[in-house]
Amino acid sequence: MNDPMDETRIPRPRPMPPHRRAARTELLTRAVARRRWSWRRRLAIAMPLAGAVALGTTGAFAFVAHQEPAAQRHTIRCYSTGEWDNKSFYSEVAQAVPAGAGAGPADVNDVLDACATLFRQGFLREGDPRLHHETDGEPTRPTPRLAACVLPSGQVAVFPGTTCRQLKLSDLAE
Amino acid sequence: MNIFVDTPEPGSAHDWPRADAELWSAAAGGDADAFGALFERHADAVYNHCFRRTADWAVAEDLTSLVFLQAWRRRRAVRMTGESILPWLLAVANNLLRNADRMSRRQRRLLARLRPAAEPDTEPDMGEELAARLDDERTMRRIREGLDRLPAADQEVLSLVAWSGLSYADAAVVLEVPVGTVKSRLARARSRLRQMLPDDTLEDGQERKLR
Repeated sequence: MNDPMDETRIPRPRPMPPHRRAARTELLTRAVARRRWSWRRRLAIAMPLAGAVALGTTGAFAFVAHQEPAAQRHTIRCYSTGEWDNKSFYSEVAQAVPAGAGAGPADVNDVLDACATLFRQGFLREGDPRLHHETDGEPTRPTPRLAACVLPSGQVAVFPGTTCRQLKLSDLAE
Repeated sequence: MNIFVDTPEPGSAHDWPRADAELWSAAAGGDADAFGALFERHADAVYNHCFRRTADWAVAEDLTSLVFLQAWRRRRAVRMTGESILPWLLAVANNLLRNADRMSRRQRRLLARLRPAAEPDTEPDMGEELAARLDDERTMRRIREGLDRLPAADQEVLSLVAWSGLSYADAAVVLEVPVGTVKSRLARARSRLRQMLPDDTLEDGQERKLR
């Protein structure tokens, strides 16, 4: 019988140190609870920008840059390049009604215009995979030709300078 | 990825067949406390799995948090019909471990946010514990030298079945391969590893203890 503590053997399992585990549980549950209300956070980001973006009177738009899969028509993706692999950059645009009986997420009806606004403002620039923070006061930047497509996940995605067909994606049905 | 887990066999090592599914369902609905309970329940299994793949307790701790967060983000892709959520968590862990060397900036930011502040060690026996953990890391690094020479698929099946104690069926679900493939890969991995290591690291009696 070999000695189980022989150093050529797999080390015995150990519990995570209790105080570390408690702290991690706390941090994780806080992260999860925060993400649950992400559309509200997006709305909070949107409010200062709503005037400049001027996208309507019934709701507010916001955008956050990340690579997290989303769904539904109230949250769409605006890509800055004509690619949609995992490394491609996009901004996420969400629409919401901020107050009243209908408060909550709302569908983005004109997805092309929603993404075009980000290009006009200079937040997105065609072919440049990042979100720009130095933007123009006036929304005068050129807007590339945009295509509204549907990713395999069902997510609405808008791409500049290409077509859904070229990307092997379905067009978004109106 | 959808996971279908069959009803547990008699004598299953999992003690909370329904509770896991109920907790996961509540967590997927946004119940952070249910998510915390699942973390409490399975964190150590994921932690030890990650350690055996990285030979570093600190990295394993970070990865454990990331596994749970990643699992929660993909919560709608999980479909449980019973049993434990652990196979799914280990599948998430394997995906992360495969890409651990090229972790994105976003994942690094997440890790930093999930990492507790360092605290001074106040327990009287902490020095002994620390020394033991350093020994673990040294031992595991040596074993990994042999393990790293195996194909990635063989490493995964070995760590899931032999070291983390998953059944062949659960490992097949995690790896998305037939049960027969799990068995053949395991036999091949054991055989190769025995040739590479000086001792019988994978002796059956020991394996059962290494969950």
